[in-house]
Amino acid sequence: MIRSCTALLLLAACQPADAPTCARPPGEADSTLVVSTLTERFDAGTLTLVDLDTLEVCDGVAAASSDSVVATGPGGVVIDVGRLGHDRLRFYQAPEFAVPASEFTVGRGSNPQDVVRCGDAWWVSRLGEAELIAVDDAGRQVAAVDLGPWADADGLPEAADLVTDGTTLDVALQRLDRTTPRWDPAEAGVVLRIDCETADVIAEASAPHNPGLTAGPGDSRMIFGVEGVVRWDGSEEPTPVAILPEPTTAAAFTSTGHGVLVSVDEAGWYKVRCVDPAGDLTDLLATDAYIPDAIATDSDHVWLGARRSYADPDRSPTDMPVEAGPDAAVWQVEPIACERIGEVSTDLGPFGLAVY
Amino acid sequence: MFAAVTLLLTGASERAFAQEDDDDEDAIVVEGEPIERADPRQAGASVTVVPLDERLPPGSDAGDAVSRAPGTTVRRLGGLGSYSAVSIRGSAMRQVQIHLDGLPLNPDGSSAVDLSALPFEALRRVEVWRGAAPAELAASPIGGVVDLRTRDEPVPLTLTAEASSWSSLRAGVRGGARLGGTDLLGGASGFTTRADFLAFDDHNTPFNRIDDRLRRRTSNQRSQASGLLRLSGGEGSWSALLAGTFRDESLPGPIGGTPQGALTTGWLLAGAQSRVAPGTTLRAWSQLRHETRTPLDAVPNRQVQAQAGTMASTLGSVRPDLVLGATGQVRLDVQRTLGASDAPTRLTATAVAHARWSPTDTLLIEPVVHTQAWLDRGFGEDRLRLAVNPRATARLDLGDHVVGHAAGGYAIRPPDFLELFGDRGAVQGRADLLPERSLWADAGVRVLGEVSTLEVAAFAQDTTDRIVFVQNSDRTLVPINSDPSLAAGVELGVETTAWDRVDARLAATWTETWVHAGPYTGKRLPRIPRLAGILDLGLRPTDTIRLGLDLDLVTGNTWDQANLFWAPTRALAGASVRYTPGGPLPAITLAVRNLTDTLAQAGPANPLDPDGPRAMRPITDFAGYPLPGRTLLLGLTWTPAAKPPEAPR
Repeated sequence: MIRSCTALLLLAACQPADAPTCARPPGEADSTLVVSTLTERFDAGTLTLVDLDTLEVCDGVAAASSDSVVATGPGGVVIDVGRLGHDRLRFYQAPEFAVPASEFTVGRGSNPQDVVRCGDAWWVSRLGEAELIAVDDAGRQVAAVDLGPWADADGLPEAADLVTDGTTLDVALQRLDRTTPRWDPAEAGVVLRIDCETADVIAEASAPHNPGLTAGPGDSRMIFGVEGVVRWDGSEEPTPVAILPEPTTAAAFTSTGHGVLVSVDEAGWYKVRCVDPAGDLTDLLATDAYIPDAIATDSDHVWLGARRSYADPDRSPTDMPVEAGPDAAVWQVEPIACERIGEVSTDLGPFGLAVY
Repeated sequence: MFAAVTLLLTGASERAFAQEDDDDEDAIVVEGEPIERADPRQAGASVTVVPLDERLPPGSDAGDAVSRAPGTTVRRLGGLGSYSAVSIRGSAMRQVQIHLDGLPLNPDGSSAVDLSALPFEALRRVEVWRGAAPAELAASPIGGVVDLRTRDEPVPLTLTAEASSWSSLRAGVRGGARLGGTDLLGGASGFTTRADFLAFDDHNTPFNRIDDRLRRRTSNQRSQASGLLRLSGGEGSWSALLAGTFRDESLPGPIGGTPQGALTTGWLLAGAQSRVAPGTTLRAWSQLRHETRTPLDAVPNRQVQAQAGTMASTLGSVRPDLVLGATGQVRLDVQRTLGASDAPTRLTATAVAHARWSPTDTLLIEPVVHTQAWLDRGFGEDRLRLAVNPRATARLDLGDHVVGHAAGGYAIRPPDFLELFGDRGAVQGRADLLPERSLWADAGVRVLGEVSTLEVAAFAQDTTDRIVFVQNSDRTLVPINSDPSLAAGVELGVETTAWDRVDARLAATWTETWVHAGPYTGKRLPRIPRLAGILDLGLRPTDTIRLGLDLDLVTGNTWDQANLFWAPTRALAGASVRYTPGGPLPAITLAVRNLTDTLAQAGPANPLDPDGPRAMRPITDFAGYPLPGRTLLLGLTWTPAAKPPEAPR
């Protein structure tokens, strides 16, 4: 049963100061999908919650920035990462979303991208700085890793996605060329593994251009980018998993090794494919919606955000089923059967996804 | 009640206010036309004429003048001389067409015009047309038309100088002369400022008050030179105009962010018009815009836009009660971006047929059919579009001092080059975009007394296929035709004088907007305030001293499509004193803007929880771009050949 807390708000049955009905306390299993939802003009945002059991939606449980993504930490910590032009982290302790537990800047113009809890600190990747920093709960810097040696010609390595196992963290360096209008990925990406206790780089590997990073089965990491998807286990050379005809922009993998890959073609069509542990691809759909993010849950489902966008109708894909995109929705995908098994609408378009 | 208001307005004083502009009605004669198009007694459209006189606050620019007309909202990026643009009756800024002496600066909303960058010294008045525009301008914009008019009367040589806070200096000159049978009018000004005012910075952490600071605005300097030269002769039968601006400015970025580089712009307009026969006027113009945007960490982006056009309009009586007219326009627009191999072009042809029909002595009806065809090239395959935009105005004399008026029609804004072609960067163009279209109507009453005027009008405008930019990948935007919206409201303008000593002017607009389809159904349009008003008060305790007070109020202003964030109510006051000794001595002006030094106002830290924790937010017109605090200004105006002052009439 899908219902929205917005309607309840109008009836004063759901006071904003109270915990939203679908904001559940953290448990051992993933219970809640956290979605940063943004207006289509990227001028405001909110956090929206989806109860993973009932698919109840609570729209707008907290205000977010106009360029927010979300991350989660241990114990139900939800972090609203205010990216370009906002440069701040806002921490919530689920199920309390009325007032953040803390909020601090991570440097003017630093453009934070991701945050993870590793060791005793929060590690923050920042696109606008050549340093990976660790901060304490109050935002005081406690460690840093100089990423300058991996910078491309513009002097910045563009650190983005982070994945951690609690003692080490992996960071994807996108190595974008900021002298180009679209910040093209001029050089191949790099992934570094960092010891969170010593702040030393303990492993590195080359990656596809414009790499994203997500957790893979076991202790592996899945790196996706322009050239496709590779698996990395900390060794020098990643293992190829799948090659797609278009750049891969988002990916999520479940504990079974099955995953969902999102790519975009030159006409703006987003394509969703499933990939099995052997690297075999199954087409799911193509859509004119913008799919900015994907995330897997521990129930082995993958969630995708889909927001209103534009793709050239004269160049629609012919190699897979085409679906008109929703204005704003999250899709639930079962990757083994490669089926879309659910969809819930949100007030604003989804942008970043996280689970706790 | 209505009669009482009329009596009050017309009988407030028998003596006219002895200001320098009380001969303005003479100045608004448009050659070759049987009636004065902007005369509130004659016009069926909603139009306000704002004289550029001492009632404007010192340091004003064209944006300040436009904001004195009801129905307008002028927004600034912050600080003296900063970017400013106008919205009319809930329109987007690109939906307002700006003209200079009738020559279009942004025909078809090709861009929003920066009012602060226009030459101001030689201007005499601003005509603000809301809804219906004069047929001879060949325009059919969704919001309206602002026509900046140069001075018609002889202009003595006048020098101005201003120094104000934040290292701001402005110097100007204007003057006129007659050489043989040719009248010369010229005006030029230079302006420079560091604009390094203090602004409230919360580090984008409204829940964290500890890091709130007053921070000096850096990388906010700008310099500008602008000028205008007009030649006219033959008893007004011909004129030629040359105007231009050069501007160099830093781009400070939003208050919580980092500087974004520099922008250099140049603009040159050359035009001429001639009355070739009674009632028939020819116009031709060309303009060139150059823009170099230099980001801090990227290669500069240079762009040139060129435009050339010609226009002919004619008007003739076919019966005593019927005047027919026609206007034709042909225009070519070209854009060239450095590094791009192709240059998009647009060829536009416009035909306007109109009539003025007076079925009775008290009623005037003016139907207009505006037909436009445009051919876009350089966007893939050539694309030809046609639009027919009918409109009509009606004026009804309701008494000696009361005029009723109504208008309605259809308006259009074709997609501009950025929307069609992109910027070869983050913005992707789309050749198949539909034009923005609007169905609009208004009705109002003007009460025109000897010393006071009142105008009240209600308006509504339904716009479809609005063009907005949405994101379609991590770093690219694409324009889409978005959901329809309705804007409706009431506008009020009042002007009065009393005893030669007191003057007051009020312009206020109440605007409600609704998106009425799509995911934002029921939401207000961003950046259209619910209430905007400006009040100017003047007092002349003696013949040589004028005290001025101005109040500028903006409320109910949401920043975003979802109506989550609302700008704090902005109430700014200014005051001035002007001493005019007369004769060859200069007039001295001392003024204060933002008298109360308001930098920030409190609001809910979480906009979803109005009763929750409070946070301070800087006062802004554009989110992230704070307006300056208290600003002092000292000005001198010197007319060397001025005559000694005369006793008041």
